[in-house]
Amino acid sequence: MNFKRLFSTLLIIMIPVASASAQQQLPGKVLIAWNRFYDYPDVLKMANDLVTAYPNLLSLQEIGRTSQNRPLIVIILNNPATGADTSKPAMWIDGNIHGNEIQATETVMYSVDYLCRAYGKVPALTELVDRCAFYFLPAVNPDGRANWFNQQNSPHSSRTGMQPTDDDRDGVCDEDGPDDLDGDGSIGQMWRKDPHGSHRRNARDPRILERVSTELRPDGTMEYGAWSMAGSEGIDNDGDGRVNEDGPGGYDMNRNWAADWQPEHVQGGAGDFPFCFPETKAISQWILKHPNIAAGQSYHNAGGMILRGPGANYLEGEYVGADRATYDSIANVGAEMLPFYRSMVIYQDLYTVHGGFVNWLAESLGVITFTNELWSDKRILQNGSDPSPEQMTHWRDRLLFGQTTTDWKEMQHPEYGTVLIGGGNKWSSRIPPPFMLEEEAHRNFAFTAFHAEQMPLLRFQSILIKQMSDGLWMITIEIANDRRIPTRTVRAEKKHIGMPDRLTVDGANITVVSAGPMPQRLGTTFEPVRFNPQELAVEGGITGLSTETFRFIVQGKAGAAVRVKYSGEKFRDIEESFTLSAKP
Amino acid sequence: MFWIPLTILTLGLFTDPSVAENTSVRDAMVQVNTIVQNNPARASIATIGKSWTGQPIELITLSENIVDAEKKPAILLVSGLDGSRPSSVAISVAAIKKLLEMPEILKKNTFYVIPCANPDVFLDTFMKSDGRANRNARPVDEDRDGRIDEDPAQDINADGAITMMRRLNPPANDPPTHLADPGEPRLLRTPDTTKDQRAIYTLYTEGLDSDHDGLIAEDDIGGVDIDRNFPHLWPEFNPSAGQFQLSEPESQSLVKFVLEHPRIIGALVIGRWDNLVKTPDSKARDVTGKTPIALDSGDAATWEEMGRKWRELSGQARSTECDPSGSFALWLYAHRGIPTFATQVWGRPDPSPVPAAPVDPAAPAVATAPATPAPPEKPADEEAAGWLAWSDRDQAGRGFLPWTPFNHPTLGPVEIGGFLTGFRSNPPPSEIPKIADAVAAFLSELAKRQPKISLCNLTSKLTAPGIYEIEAEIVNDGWLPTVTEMGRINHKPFPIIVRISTPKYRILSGQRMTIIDGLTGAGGRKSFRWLVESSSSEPIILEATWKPSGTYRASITGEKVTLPSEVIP
Repeated sequence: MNFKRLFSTLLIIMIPVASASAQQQLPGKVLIAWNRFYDYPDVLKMANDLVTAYPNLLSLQEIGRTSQNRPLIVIILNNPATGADTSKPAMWIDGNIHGNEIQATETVMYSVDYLCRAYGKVPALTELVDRCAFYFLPAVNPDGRANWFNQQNSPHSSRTGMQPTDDDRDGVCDEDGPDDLDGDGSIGQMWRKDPHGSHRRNARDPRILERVSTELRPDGTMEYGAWSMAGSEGIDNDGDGRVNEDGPGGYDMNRNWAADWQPEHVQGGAGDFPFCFPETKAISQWILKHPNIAAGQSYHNAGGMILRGPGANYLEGEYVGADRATYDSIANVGAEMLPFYRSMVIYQDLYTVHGGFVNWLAESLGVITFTNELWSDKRILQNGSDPSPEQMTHWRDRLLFGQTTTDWKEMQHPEYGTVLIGGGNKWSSRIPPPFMLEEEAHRNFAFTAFHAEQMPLLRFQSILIKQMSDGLWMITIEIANDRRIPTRTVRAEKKHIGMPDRLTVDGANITVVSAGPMPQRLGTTFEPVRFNPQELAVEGGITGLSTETFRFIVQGKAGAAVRVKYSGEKFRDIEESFTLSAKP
Repeated sequence: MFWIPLTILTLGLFTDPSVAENTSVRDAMVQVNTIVQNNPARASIATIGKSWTGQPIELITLSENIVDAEKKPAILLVSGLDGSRPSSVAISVAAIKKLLEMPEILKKNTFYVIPCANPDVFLDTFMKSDGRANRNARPVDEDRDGRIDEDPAQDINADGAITMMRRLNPPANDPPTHLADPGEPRLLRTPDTTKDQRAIYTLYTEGLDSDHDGLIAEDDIGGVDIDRNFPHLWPEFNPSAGQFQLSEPESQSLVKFVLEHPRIIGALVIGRWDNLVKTPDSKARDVTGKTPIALDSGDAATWEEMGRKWRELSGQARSTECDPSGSFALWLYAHRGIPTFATQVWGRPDPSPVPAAPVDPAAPAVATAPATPAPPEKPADEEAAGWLAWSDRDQAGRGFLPWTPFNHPTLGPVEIGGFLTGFRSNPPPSEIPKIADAVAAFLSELAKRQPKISLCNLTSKLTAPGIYEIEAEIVNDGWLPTVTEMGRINHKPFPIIVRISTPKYRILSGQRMTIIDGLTGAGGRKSFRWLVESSSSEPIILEATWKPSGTYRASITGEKVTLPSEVIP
């Protein structure tokens, strides 16, 4: 009896009971507020609390340490009652490889929490959890996250890891970073006083600095503002005449993966070689040991994007039709689930990336993977347009009560003289305001649940046995994949990534004489392999939402037991046993 | 002894010549330990990492005062990357000996020598075929059938070597690809259809179909080819290139060593690639358009000249074409900017002329002159034919095992034969001392031509009360540039940093610190000018630092200047 079939039968019985009681209220065993952000120690505690509360679903592994010796953790969500995680298709979900892109971590943790709360109550998610495994890595770059929370930063700084790096080649590391000159806890902007300035303060709202016209006045004179941009808040700490040119760290771990990796003169921040950082090394080694990963998501901010590779134009041809269709069919659903998010291709619609994480997963490991760029400023007006500077100010005043801005303050700067310091603090852009965090997390979680649901699900659609002569049998096996993601992407098939799927027919008293795929499902011929017919290697796997047909010629007496097994890396193996008999 | 005596070989032997080569590698590594022990003040030995099987990868450091080795500009010599080149280890070890006889050179420079960078390829347990010669011991499932190393190349006819098999008139499922070359019937060629040639042979590596999948010797023992595992032009998805760049302990050890020794100013790699006999194409760029394939056009002249020098020192006139993708040498140059020279150290010698037929003095000269035979057809692979001729005429035929019938268990009748692994990549042992001398001479030439920075033409002039105009120049009197053009692209070599001690707010003109990529060779210079507010008694320090050689420090008081007398390492 097919175990899975038995299981889904049980589920059907459960459904009315469960949905009647759920009604979308899913109290958890751990009470977590999803309208706030968590520093890394709080994230670790949350992970531990969840694992303690849901011991039957969750386990936690420390997979390595960061440059600053923080633990890197993977939370494994799996129901051992339905099999080991490694025997199931698994989805990898991570975030916060860029230290400042903090809501990625809350989104990952929300997903863990929601799945645990929903398990046993929401049939769709219960079924998903019973069929698949999830590997969550809440923060790829905890050092960058910790720096962002605890040091003065802007919405854009602390993207890097925290390994000291000599950005300006003067032989000293990290000696000239930004400085919080106005003491507001953030790195704001600086404008220097300049009689020929490019900007002036808006007359209606002096908090807005607006560009003056560069066109001549009718009388032939130029219009000048009083201020010119002077970069982010800071001074020339190392006395080399430059400001903020060697801050903490100075690299980009999302350029350090082994797919199309390029050195730093081609790809800024790439590091000395692929996996040269302790974080990327630990994670890559862990992932390489889990070939059952069949789907991937890596959360970033910002911009409202569902991104797929390739990262460089010359790799466009590597995403061939069938794989592209798989990506599109998932991303297009995502674009409906995530208001103001668009499905995009990294090199075409964003910028060129060499050595990106999703590229490694997709191109080197053959896994259907997306990066979601969380939060879009379009969510401020919620009408599809970006807010103007004035509308942005109104939003900050009226909905956020000014909490994300620091008023401009005139100060004396050692290099620039009189400057204005202030503007948006580190909470002012790229991340949602707390009251919108849960919605963002939930919608993105729901998208990954949809993505995970598309991981291959196989069944024997039919097994037909025909007696050819006495003791000679023709067995025709049709295998269906009921989900969108193929068992082997075209990329994996073409580049020989991982192991091919295998279709095995065996039995103590039978001999497989010949076997092979049937190019046409309803055709009369098949393509026998020359060697090892009892174990067919299926390099192309089973395409998504499709069937593949195979034929075996078997010798054996009527009544002999036969076992058919289809096995592979990215799905749960299926197996059927029967006896040779003329009547099905 | 390096080679099995020739007579045994020609008689057909039952020992693997590659095992003898492996013995020579081990002997060389024992010898190098003795050399180091005998020169404790000038040589040291250390382990920079371990191979897949845990063998140490040894580093020999040579420097006049060994405790100061890390403070001097260093030159790196690496060999033993390729299993088909065991002689490279012995050559490096002999070059170490030679370098220790050059005290002048060791005074200014440190030499790092890694004679055997890939020790697993010299393990006795592997009888080498050409295909597996360069792979480390990591088990790799080349045929992706879930079984590892289960169908290796084997010496199935017990002639002492793994060579090739050819199968005449193969069946329909195994279409022929080659024919015996009419120009040299022992060699095989693909058909030239313009001459109506037809393929009649299929070719295989010598071996069985141990896993019964119809493929011969397709899942050999090991491994990852270390010299394909480096990041520049890494051939992804080639099973012997590794799962990712630097996936192997051997390549990781080399990279770690190089990154931890930033004073390396030049390198020589003895291996399968050559960029000295033939200067590589300096126009070609990789897919990004931002990195040269093998050489930047701005560096071509340097390579031409060093290549000329190598040919002069070694007499090597020929080299073998080789795709350097993913090699150590390519990485050192393209990703680190280090002037890296690659050599096969020895090329195909000219075969002796065919001995003339003895002349019968009694016969009338004109009448008996034989009719000029039709010029034989040129073999398709003239290089291979040249090697064969050299083997025949000068090496008693030891390089090529003649095609010998054999009844293969699955293929049926085949013939086994071909070139011995390593025959074309290792000089006869008698030539090793001469080659080692050339290697040492080349390294000392590199040392003689190294960049030599000086701080000169320093002046200080009072231009107005309390204002001094300071001018200085830094010059490279060495022949090599302080930075290759590649280094100017990748920014990895050390820049030259010029600093003046005057506080920033009293510098009216000029920078307190200036970083330049470097100076070109042979008199490359850069001048600096400052206007500073100072007093006649205030000491000002002017420094120029190029990390590999150190810091040049001048002092200025008023109009009085003092040039550096020595370099501060």
